Amino acid sequence: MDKKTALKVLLQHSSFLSEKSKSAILAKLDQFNDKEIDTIGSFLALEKKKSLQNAIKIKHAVKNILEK
Amino acid sequence: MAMSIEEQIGKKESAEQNKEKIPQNERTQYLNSGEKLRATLNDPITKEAFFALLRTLINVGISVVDLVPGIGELPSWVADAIKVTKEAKKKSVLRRSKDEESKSENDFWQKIDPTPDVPVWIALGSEATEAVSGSVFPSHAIESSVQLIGYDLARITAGLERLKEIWGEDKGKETIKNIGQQAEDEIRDYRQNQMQINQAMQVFA
Repeated sequence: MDKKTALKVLLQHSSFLSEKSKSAILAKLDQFNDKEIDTIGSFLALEKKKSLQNAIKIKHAVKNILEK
Repeated sequence: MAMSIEEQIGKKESAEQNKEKIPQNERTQYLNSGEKLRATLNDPITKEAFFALLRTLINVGISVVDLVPGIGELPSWVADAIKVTKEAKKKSVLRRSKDEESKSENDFWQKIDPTPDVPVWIALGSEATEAVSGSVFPSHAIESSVQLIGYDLARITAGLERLKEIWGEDKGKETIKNIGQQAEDEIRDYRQNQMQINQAMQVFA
């Protein structure tokens, strides 16, 4: 998978960015240089990893509370 | 800026200024929400748990306004502004030192900072990211990620439990279910596209 494709995938599945922000980044994708793509891609990869970890914690906390 | 945040949290001054504009039934609901939020903020244990939860929700991008009436959402630039304001308030408090009211005020800004463990220079430094993407990429995302590392499940749980107590059994459970649904959606989307997402993450690892 090349970097631009990977960036598109991570954008599509980002829970942090709004749809408006996603569209704006996609529209500018061909104007970004390698360093810029790396910056945004690295953040989105980290964001996905952390938001999943956090979602799992929230899911467990919610389950425990609702079962009480 | 300070007024804007206080307005979002307590709605106190806004409610007083707009009494004539709000229909009676809406005003009752509005003030009830405000009273519950004030009860939350007046209890030191609740306050710690509540703001831990609030920071988590803000940092994962969940729209808090949909979950907790009376809060409003805190966009990136507001979060950065809070951090700067907090530092300014701290310095001001240090200068005035013995003033108890000022100390309390400083504590408020410490609590509401969405990324309290992130130094100010990171918050401001991350603004550079906006130049990369023409202001569409949220600079606050960088510091949010830093804050998210090692987040505390115990504080999230305590915050949710207190929310249920304060908002009452029915409304509290409904709010917690909504928060849980956001988390479920995130996990389900990942499971349905796991291979593709993992490959994309690997590219930037």
